[in-house]
Amino acid sequence: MADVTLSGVTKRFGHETAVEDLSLSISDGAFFVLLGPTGAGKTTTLRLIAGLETPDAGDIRIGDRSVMSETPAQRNVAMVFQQYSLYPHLTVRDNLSFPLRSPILRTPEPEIARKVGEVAEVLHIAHKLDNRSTALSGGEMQRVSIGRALVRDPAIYLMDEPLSSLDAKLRADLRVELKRIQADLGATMLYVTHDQIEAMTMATDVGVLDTGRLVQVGSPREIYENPSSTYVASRLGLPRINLLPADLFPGAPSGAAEIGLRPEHIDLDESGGNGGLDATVIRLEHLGDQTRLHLVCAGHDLTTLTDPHSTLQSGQTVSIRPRTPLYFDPQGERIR
Amino acid sequence: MAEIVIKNLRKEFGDFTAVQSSSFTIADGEFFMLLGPSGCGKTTTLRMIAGLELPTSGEIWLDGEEVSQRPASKRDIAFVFQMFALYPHMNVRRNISYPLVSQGMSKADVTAKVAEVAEILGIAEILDRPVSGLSGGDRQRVALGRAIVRDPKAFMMDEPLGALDAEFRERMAEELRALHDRMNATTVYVTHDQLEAMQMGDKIVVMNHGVVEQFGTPQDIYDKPATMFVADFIGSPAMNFLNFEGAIEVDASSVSVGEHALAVPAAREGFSGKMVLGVRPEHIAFADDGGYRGRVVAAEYLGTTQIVTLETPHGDLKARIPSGQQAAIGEQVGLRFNAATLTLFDARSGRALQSALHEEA
Repeated sequence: MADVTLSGVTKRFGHETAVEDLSLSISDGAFFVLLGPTGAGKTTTLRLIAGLETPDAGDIRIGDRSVMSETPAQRNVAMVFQQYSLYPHLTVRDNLSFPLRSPILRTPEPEIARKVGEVAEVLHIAHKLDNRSTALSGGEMQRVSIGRALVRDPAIYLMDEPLSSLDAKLRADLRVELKRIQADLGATMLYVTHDQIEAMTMATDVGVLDTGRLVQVGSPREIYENPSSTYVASRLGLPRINLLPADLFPGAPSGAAEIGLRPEHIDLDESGGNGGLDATVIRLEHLGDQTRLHLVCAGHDLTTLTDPHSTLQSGQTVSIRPRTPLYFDPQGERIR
Repeated sequence: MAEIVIKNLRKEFGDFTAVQSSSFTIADGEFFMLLGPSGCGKTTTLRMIAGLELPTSGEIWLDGEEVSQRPASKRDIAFVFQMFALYPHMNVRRNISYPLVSQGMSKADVTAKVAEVAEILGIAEILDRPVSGLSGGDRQRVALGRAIVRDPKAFMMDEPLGALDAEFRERMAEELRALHDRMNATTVYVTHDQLEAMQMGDKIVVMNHGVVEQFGTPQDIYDKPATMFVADFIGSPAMNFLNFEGAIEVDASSVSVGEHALAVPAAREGFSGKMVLGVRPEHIAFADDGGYRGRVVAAEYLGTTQIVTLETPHGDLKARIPSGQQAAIGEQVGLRFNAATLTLFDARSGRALQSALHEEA
């Protein structure tokens, strides 16, 4: 495993700038998650590191060497794609062994058997090693395709939304598993996703991308509690942060255009006695463990949380007050 | 708009029974969810209500009339599919007008009706645009417009948000629900996504292998699952199960899990044998004096809360606790369960044992 560093990397496709002056450093053993919506430049960044795309400017270093002139194979990275593609005519064992049998690696067979056994154990597919790869469930197939990356000992694992094609339950299981595997192996991982839950639960570091630019890097907790802009604040947290005009509530600092209130940072009083603003209940959403409360306050929609067995009714008036608000300037930058 | 009553509805495809005698009632104006994993019979049920499949037996009452053997065209129901198919060579206005024009409505009425629907959906400005250049959301709105414009008795929706990405799905879900609240149209909605069902539905039917497992309001189904299947299918993370061999007598409010006596809601039926204790993640707290102990194996940060995975003698647990609380991997911790919320199941049948929990309003 090794440090991976990008400095000033830019990639254009025609007139479109997919990645703009991107600098980031992934330290040895980190689980680095690049988070952003479709089109933010996540996959392009991954492909640039893998050597599947060539940057228009900047430098990419793996360990202590620049890899700009190296082929994908020479870079020694392992990539897992969104759509698992296994060799359908091979068994699970042969699928997993395949990368090790490549002429570049020339691994001895006993070593291959040991490695494959180890990885199969980690991924809980040891009992399926002799199955045809087509005789597996979707989750098992994706585990095999992750396993095919894990059998190698690359400088870095690059993963492109490997869980997005799986159903919700399996995704939740594999999140925990992937995090455990990464920690057990001490692997360096760059993982791109648009799923904020994946970023929050697995990452040691999160990088937030906005149309090709890296706008904030930090631990999930830093990003959640201390976002640098409205864009970043809106990326993490469900329900999403409420963004309202700053002067709606008293106490806004000068220059503030918007106030950002996480749903759990709104104090609510049903009898209207907390000296806050009146808001009207639009609708309650019962999600079981939490209940989302949709309110309208002075013409602005906002969402907060309430007790699962709340007796609030649509049309009722409550009083709300912000707690630990975040303020943003007219450009959406955080005012600290 | 109309009430829909389903009585003993059954559908067989050759040897395969897709739906086994389902019965439930969809009240007028309700947003009704058919929820279950793929292959559970939810889409078949929807298609039978719409008239796209004829039932093998059973009754479907729509607005007071038995319609189970009527063709779809005679039922006055609008269907919105997962892949919204628009006429690519027509503009937005003509796409929405199409159902009215083919009914022979006068031109002036069509124009007025389309304008009204476009207003409801917020697409009045794009009426004269070709559909090919539209965003996914606008395409979805146009597809909805085409369904709404006919003023049908009810809407059938088959995973209309299934093809959208997470962020956008969230937004469209809210929009759909808001639209429903404005129109108060009876809507039957099929989904495999439990969160979508909880979020949007007034009532939910949970199906599995062609059988209705439970029918009720979202919160009721979440708090009082009738079967282990429902308990596991609803909630993220799902309800935790502790497997043990034990017994409980009528009126007892404690059960022995291994050597630990745990308080539970007072039993209304006795049981002995292989049992399962069900506890929701948010009803587990760390407590030094908690007699039941587990070892922390993973912690997942989620903003204000975190999900901690624990190994215990009777199975793994996931607990939802405040993210400020320490949960060091490898540490042994005492646990306390919120007794009033626990459910006991018969391990073999998966059925919930009746208790004081089921008596609350």
